[in-house]
Amino acid sequence: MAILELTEACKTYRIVQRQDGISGALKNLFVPRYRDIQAVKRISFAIEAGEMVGFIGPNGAGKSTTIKLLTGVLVPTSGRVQVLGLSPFKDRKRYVGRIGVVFGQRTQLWWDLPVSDTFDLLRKIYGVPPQTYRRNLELFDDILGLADFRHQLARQLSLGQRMRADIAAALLHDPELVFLDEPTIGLDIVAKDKIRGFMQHINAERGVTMLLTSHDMQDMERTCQRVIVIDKGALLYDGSVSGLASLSGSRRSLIVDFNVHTRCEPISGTELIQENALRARFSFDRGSMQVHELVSQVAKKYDIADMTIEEPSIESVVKTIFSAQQARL
Amino acid sequence: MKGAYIEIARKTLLEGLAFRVNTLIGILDTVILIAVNVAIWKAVYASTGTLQTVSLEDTITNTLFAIGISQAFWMDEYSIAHKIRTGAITNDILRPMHFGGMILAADIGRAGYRLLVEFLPAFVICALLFGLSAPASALALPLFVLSMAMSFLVLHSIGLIMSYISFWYFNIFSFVTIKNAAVLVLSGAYIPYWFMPDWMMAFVRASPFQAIYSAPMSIWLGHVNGSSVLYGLAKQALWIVALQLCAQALWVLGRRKLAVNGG
Repeated sequence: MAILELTEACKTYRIVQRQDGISGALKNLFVPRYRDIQAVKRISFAIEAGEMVGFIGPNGAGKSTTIKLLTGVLVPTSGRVQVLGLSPFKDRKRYVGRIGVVFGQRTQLWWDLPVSDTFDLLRKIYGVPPQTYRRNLELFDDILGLADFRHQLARQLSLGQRMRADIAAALLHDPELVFLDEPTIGLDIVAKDKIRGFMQHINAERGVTMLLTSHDMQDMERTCQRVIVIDKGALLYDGSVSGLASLSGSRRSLIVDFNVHTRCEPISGTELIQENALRARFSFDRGSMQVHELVSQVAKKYDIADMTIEEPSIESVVKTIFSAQQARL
Repeated sequence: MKGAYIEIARKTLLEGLAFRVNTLIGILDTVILIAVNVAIWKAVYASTGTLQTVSLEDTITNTLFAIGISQAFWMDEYSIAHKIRTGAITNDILRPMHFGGMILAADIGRAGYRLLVEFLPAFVICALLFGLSAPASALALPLFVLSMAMSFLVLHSIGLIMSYISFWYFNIFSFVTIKNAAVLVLSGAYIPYWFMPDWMMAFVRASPFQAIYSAPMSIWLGHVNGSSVLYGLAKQALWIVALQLCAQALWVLGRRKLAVNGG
């Protein structure tokens, strides 16, 4: 049974349209002009208990607004939001006690307090039983390595530490459903891996349902079975990660850095799309060209410092899906 | 759950104690403010003789309490307004708590710290310097404390209403400034009611300002007796209920207006 249901949800912001110049400012003072911005347009989807769903889209696509509709921060302009059998906005107090929320760009830790004080306060707010609290702290120490900085002030933490503490804070009260908005934003690979591992653990071991937004395609590929793509407030895709990968096309780029100035020769099955003295970029089709074959061919021919395979970015994936849809219409 | 509100009050109180220099300045500030006003009243009484119906001693007592405590009962509307404007209020909305209750807990913590650490020493210093009328009766003391607690709740409720205005208006500075000026002038702290012209009193009696410092002060000074004490307390309670209902309505309406863009 679906524990989260969004039906034809819309969110429109009304903003004052500023007019230029002094006369414009005066006009604005007496007769303000408004403009409606549709942040979310008739979005519908449902999530089953225990799922781990990725929610992606470029900047300004409406991801955060959707998360805020689902967490009861914002009220939908129209449509229905039903989560855990409650209406998040109307039943706010009852509802938010059962969910956990992480906003990557905004900490929920008390800035001037040690992390442990925030945890202590959260324990009282959510009425977490002592044994649950202890068990969770042990787990967080284990997987997230919180013990190293639990007694530091929140404002003295590094970004990676802060994010780990924030995620722990959101899970302290054993929520049934967790929303993570950009939980890996700005983090290095090691920190990202730690957080991905933790999310997978919580989802697999405890059956906690998760919805996470991200900018990072790899976040999705590593952690989610299902992804929902939105752009400009509308739903573009809802399905498996592998389905998205096939939709997004199979072209990849191989970037080669040379140790010495090199002139590349074309390699069959690839296209040389960029070349300068120390770097070359080959575009190839992953379906017809084996990556390791291409790599070994290049490595045999040239003196190589480094090689990278470039995955398509979320923006380009969205663009591909969007134009595919337009073509179908 | 209840523990959480108490914990918030406790944390705010402890936060205040962390800044020692602030505390010293707070005491000094209150002493100077009271001393200046006492000096003014002494000059007024010296030039008008004993024309007034209320003694200089009572007027000084009013100054000591009302001005001293008004320094402690200072509400922090701007930080809530800032939260609403920046969207930081999201964090509070995501807690299974009553928002007004959280603000009340924080306000109590802050007022508690200021009363204990700033007002009390300043009050003792000023009482020794300028003298003080004793409470009108033994019963007047606890009733005074009760009434002063209600004054705090009236101010807290007005503060909430001011903060919630920022759901609609970006800058609440002018609203808060007008409110603060009105509280200073009309609550009986700086100008006791026995100096106010009748036409002004007619307005003040119909306003919540009367339920602030004049209510507890008139109990201490014995300006009200018997059933009129109860009447005054009941009036304070009614104002608290009315202002709280108003604040709650603004909260419910304002939450629908809330727009949190980006992040």
